[in-house]
Amino acid sequence: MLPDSIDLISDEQKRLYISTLIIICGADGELVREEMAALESAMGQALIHPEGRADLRQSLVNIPKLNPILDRLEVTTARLALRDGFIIAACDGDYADEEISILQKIKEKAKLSDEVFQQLMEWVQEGWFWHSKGRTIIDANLLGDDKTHIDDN
Amino acid sequence: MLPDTIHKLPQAERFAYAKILAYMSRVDNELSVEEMAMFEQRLGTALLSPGQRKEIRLALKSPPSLEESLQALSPEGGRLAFRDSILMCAADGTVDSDELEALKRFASLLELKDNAMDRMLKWVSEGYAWMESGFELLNDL
Repeated sequence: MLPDSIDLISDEQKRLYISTLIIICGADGELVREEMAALESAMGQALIHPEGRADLRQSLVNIPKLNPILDRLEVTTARLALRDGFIIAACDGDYADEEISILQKIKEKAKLSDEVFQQLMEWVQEGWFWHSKGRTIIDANLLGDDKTHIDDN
Repeated sequence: MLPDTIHKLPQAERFAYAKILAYMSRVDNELSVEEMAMFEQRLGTALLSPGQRKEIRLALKSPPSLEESLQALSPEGGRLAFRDSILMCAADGTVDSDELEALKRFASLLELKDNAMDRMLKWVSEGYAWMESGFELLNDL
């Protein structure tokens, strides 16, 4: 959502980062519009070339295998993919078991603890509240936004 | 990346929304990498077609006026464009005086409450703090 360090990693690692997010998107067998918007947002934030984005979109049809991607992920990229993987997994409203399983594997590659794993889940929820607060200020609420935070009007 | 309402707007409105971001990106005659990344991120969230994105990128050189683009937006679409204009102007760490003036004019065109700008700037600053806490969780990135 906000300025990020994703632009500090190499082009190859950016593609692997997006491929990891695509695997999470495809984990529960359906791709909702919110996930697609989040994925396009991530590709935009990473400033991936339009042709590169077109190639990556193709892999939504034929989801890549996780392990070969993980093998090539650097620790820094794995950490960013884990953080943003939590966001993208939460897009359809809940974490599916398949998504959690993938996130656990990314956590291992990222060399992060179970405690951080749990904290990232809470961090996403905080971000959700923050974003909903912005919508409330401009009166553009999503269903349920009014219940997610106490407005400091 | 967080779920939003932009992609629920009609396509014509999303296109106008993107033109407003293009306009705002040119206000201070500088386009930093951070602003460009934010601009591309918001185009992605809006789920514009690749053709529309190409057109919008071309519009970066000479974007239509704020007033012209606003005509194609609903009140809610206009307010979302206002919110994301603030996000984009703040993407390089500061909102300079030219950007602030343009945002004030934008708020005035939308007939927002007097304190809307201050509340949104505070909200952006809270978002930075949230992102920072995410980095801290991931350690020394």
